Amino acid sequence: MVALTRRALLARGVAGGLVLAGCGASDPPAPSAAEHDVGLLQRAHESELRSAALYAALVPQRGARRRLAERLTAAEERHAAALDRAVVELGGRPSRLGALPSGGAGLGAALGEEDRSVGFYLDLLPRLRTPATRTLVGFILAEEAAHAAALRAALGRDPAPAAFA
Amino acid sequence: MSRPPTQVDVVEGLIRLERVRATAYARAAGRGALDPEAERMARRFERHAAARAGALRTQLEALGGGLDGPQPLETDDPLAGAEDRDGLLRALARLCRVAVDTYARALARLEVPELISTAASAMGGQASELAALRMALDEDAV
Repeated sequence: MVALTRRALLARGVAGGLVLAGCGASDPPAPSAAEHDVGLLQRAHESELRSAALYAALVPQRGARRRLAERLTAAEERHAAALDRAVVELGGRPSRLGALPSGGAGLGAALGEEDRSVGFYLDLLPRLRTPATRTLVGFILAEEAAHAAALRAALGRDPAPAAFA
Repeated sequence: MSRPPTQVDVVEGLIRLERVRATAYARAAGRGALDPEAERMARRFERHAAARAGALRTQLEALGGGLDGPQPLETDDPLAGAEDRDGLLRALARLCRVAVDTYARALARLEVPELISTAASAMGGQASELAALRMALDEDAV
């Protein structure tokens, strides 16, 4: 039986650590363009579902505002479905949200949500790496901007006050 | 054999498109067939189109490209056959729709992040204008 001195134990520990360090622990490979975009599209999908839930809360309103809320709800659900398909086509899994926000919301809150959504897509687009995905998201951005215009008009404001979103 | 469009080609195409739209808005406003509110809207959208063309031209020059002076309209007159208020607004809305589609295709071809951002923001502005034109025609904006 060999009595190991404390110095010997420490030396073995350092040597073991050096061996482990040399075992080729490498960084994970960078994600492909498709993998990269899947994550971004999943966030967009969640964003659309939240918008749809907010508009669904507006539907109890009357007349023209009700029709607008119904059309906006349907549009956001279409966007979510299109993003779902795009995620699957890129090899990812569609995201699933938990409980969505509910409760009453006015047109002012809806306009705030659309402005947030436009800003979200403006930030997202330059980060997407697959060309077809940029086109899809571009169309969704355009529809969100149109929603914002419709809401501004419903609130008595200029629907298209600026050259850029 | 034609080569695939470069980013410079794509941006030059967008600038020409904005110039066509600015001219169309100006012509529509000058026909005397629009009511005051619609005429003001057309004048404002003319300025919007000119602003977008200017922003794209600045970025085009940064890429090393550049359009030499005013370019001739390469399309048929988009207002042809539109005589009354609604006809003019519908023609402008059609042109707006073409612009949104053109920008969407351009987004797939652009690679420089700043260009993508400008094109996307311009596309959003046009989509708002399209919604406004539809509402002026008592149509659904969305």
